[in-house]
Amino acid sequence: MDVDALVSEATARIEAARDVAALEEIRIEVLGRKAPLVQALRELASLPPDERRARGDELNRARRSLEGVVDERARELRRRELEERLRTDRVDVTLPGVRHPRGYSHLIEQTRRDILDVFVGFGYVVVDGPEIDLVHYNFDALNHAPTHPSRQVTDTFYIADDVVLRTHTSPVQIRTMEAGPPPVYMATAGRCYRRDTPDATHTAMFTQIEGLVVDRGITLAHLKGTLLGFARAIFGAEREVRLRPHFFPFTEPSVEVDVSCFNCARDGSPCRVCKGEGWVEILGAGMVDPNLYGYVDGYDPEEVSGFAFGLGVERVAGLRHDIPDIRLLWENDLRFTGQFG
Amino acid sequence: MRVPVSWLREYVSFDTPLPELGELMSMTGTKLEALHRRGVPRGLELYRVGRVLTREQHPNADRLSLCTVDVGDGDPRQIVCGASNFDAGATVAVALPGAVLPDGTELRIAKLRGVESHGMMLSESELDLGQDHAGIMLLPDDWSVGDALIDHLAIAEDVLEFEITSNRPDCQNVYGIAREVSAALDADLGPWPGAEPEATGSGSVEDHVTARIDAPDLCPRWAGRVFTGVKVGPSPPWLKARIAAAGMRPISNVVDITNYVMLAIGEPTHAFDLDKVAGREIIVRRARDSEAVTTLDGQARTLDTDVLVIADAERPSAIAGLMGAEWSEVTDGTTTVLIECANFDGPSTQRSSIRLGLRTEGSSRWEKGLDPHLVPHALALASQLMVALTGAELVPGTVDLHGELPQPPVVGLRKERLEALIGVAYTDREIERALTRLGYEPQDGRWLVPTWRAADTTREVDLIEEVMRIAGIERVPAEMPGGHPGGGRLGEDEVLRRQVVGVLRGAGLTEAATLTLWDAGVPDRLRLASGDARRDLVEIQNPMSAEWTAMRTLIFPGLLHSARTNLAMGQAAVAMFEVGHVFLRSGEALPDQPARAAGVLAGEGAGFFEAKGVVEALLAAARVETAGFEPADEPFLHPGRSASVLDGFVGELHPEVAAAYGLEGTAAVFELGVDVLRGPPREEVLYRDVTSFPPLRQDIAVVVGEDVPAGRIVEVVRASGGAELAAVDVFDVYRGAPVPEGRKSVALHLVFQSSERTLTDAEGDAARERIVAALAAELGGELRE
Ligand SMILES: [Zn+2]
Repeated sequence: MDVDALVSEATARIEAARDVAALEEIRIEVLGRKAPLVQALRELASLPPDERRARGDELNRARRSLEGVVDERARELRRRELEERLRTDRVDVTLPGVRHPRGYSHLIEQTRRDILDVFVGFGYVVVDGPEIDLVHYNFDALNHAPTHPSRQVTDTFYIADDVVLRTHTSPVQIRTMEAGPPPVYMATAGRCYRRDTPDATHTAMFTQIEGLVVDRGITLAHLKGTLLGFARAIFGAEREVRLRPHFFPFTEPSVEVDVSCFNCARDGSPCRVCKGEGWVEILGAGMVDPNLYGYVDGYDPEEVSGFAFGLGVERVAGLRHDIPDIRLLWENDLRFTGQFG
Repeated sequence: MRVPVSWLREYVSFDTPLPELGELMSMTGTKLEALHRRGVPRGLELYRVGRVLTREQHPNADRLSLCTVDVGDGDPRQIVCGASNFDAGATVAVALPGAVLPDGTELRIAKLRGVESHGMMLSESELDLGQDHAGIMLLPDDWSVGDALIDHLAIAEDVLEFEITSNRPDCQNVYGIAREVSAALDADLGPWPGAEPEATGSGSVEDHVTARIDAPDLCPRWAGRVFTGVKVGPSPPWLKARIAAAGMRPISNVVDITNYVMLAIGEPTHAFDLDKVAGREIIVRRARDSEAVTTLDGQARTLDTDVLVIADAERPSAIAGLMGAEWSEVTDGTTTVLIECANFDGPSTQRSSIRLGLRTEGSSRWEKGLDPHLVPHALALASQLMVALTGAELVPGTVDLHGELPQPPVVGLRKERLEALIGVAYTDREIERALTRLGYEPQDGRWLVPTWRAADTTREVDLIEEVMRIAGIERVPAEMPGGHPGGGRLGEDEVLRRQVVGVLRGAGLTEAATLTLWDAGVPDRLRLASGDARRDLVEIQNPMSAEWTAMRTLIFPGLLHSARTNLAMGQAAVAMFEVGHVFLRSGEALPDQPARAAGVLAGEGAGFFEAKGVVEALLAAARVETAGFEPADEPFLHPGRSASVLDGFVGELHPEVAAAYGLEGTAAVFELGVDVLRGPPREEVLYRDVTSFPPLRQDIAVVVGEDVPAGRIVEVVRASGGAELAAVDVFDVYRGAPVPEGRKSVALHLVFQSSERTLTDAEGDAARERIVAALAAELGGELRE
């Protein structure tokens, strides 16, 4: 018996086996009890002792070799059959997934968070303040003259002669300074109320964000740097800001702040956001008027200085998302909210 | 404030292009709102001074005339004209073919009833110079024929419109703007307008009028001059043009002069027909209670003692600073005029203006507070114009009543303070230039504030602002301050708010922002009983509309509106929430204003257990473990499908309330105080070993009476289960055979776990037996095998 020929012939047959069943048949033929190789092993004892060992080694090697080839082929065939089964077990991956309920966040909340987070990053502490507040906090301590027009009943909602729906978040400036000594790095957000007839850019109820910094050596340059950082975080890294002198009762000097238009690039000209000016007004700000320090303890205008700013959340949201009418923000239409949540 | 540029150039000269000037003004604090072009848009050379050579009847039209008009080029034009207020020899304004009129129409050679017309003779209204369109404009005969019309008349005018902040009444006039321009450009400002004319009238002012101030608190200064031989008529074209370009309506020479003085230097002045003033007496006094006056606009007005009037011996002839009385008006027949230049108290003028609903160009200046030292300038300018334009003679002398006038402050400015506040270095020269251009005068190392800024500039910081804005705000660099030494953080309230919002969004609810204000009908719609604190609304004294009269005491009703509209839009299911404040009377000046979280589920899949699941998610996130749900007694909820929990509630809406809000089908709501969701502080949540030893799980089913709530079973299990009982969960309720009628089987998962050792089955069995015994003893429960 030519063992080498037997092994090479059997190996070829094993490797050609097309499935597990065929492989099993071949295995029985070449390694089963009646296989010539196995028969030969059984007959070893009848050989002369001097031949027995060499012949035995040769036959055992051949058997192990074939067993290895069978195992290898069996693994391969099983893998192939699994692949084949998986190939036919198909789903339409373009069908929708099983839906889980999902809530949207409101655009005012989103915008408010984005802005507050910027100021937290700048080292501010976020606080809350009352929506109904004393005239003292809303006007008097903010240096509004007794005749200031915004005190009029045509402009401000009164609860009592000395109690109003706050017209801005600025009362929190005074409340924060009352609560503790400088340094102050404060941001606050909340609802405010003015007797404005609603239109595309005004609602009688609106959301404001206020910031106040009082510390040693605070300058107008610090205000500008802060607002530049804010503008870039919210409106894009290429933005510039521009301060224009203005007037507010509780800051001196006061400024209005413009941000370089982010729409000109988005939209091409002529730009309806900045009306071709290249700048969009976003907020009012200024250096804290030293008169305010007179309403609280522990703030000496010769020792500390500060700045404050206030901005409308709906205006920022409207500008950022190209919303033509901010009243949409208060309608709670899920189709609208879902665009942004 | 509208500033005609040709007028502005009379007080300050500049070459700067207008858009650049506007930008510069905006950057120095006087914001340019708009740059308008008034009048003729282009082709000014086609507008000429002409003279009518001949005027004949048009051959084919009764109402037209046929003229030849010399326009200075030796080629008289044939012009057909519809006006009849002129004759041959008249000097007229002519537009030649090709000219573009202010309204944009282009003039062509036209055939009118068969006759060619080679131009047009213009009326005031066609040139946008005034209202008069009855006839053509008749020009002074000393204007040379052929001159460009623009050399005589502002037929084209650029108008700068500025926003003036409320602290700068000194800028509500052309001269005040010119001062700002002079500072911004570092250019010279011309002298105050107005040159005193010779007083050629007879006698003296005292012969014509006596005056007294009875209310000096409301009128610190009252001055007047008398003019005789006044001929009331239309103003000359240049004056009309300026008044119109500044946005007012030309009326008559006398009235236009008073308005001109106001527009030029900011002092509102008033003209009285002195012959109508009873007793020729002026009394500046408070109105009597219920005193009546009919003002120039024809409105009958009832006054009170807070209103200042200018009265004669008998009755008010003007409401001070606001408007004259109809009867004292200057009319065509007026010959003797008293011009008033006064100073009225700003706040009281503002109050009167609001009370009477009467806001005028004058009141808008008075209410901001004007400089009493403006009076002499106003008298000079008014007098000059009265004499020059009305043929009047100025009666010698001035009535000028005032007490001691306030002297402007002298304010120090430390350079180091300026630089420390702005963050920019300045030279002494820059500081001096900015302040002197604005009218400040150095005085002993400090600065004398000009009278017109005395109210606004009293402190060093006010001077700092002036220097900063005039020296250039662009120079301010952008720098970052250090931030809070303790680091930035969201703060407790904001962290809690975000946690609540996050859980509710995760539970599939969409955030809403609803109105904080309610109409008065909400408590009834919610069926709130009298005595319910949530009926006791914080009301607004001056609501804008009946829809917004009071502050909300609950949040969820606003969400019901949103749910209804969204369902109406075709949403199958609506799940929304809001986190916000409610307002409850407190007995103090300020109401309690706690934050609350509320939600609504409506449409498909809305019910008590869905809403309760959301509340349980909130409680779990806050680690509030002790919250019990008890049947609720809320008037707006379904009495059998609602629960109270902590300081709030959850449940299906009462059908009447649902109907009141237009909601069909089941809707469930919840509302809770945000504070109760605060949970333990993070640092108090300590590690327990829950992984080293395996839990022991057991299920039991217990049969109890129908009236025993599942929550009660859980309570008994908890109380009897021992320290190792880690969790109890109801997972099934079964009714029907073999459970007897009137009873139910409640199935529970029990989990026992120790953080110290592995529990044995024997320990589990013992605990289970304790539990079963307690259920039997306390609830009559039987174990169902
Ligand atoms: Zn733009």
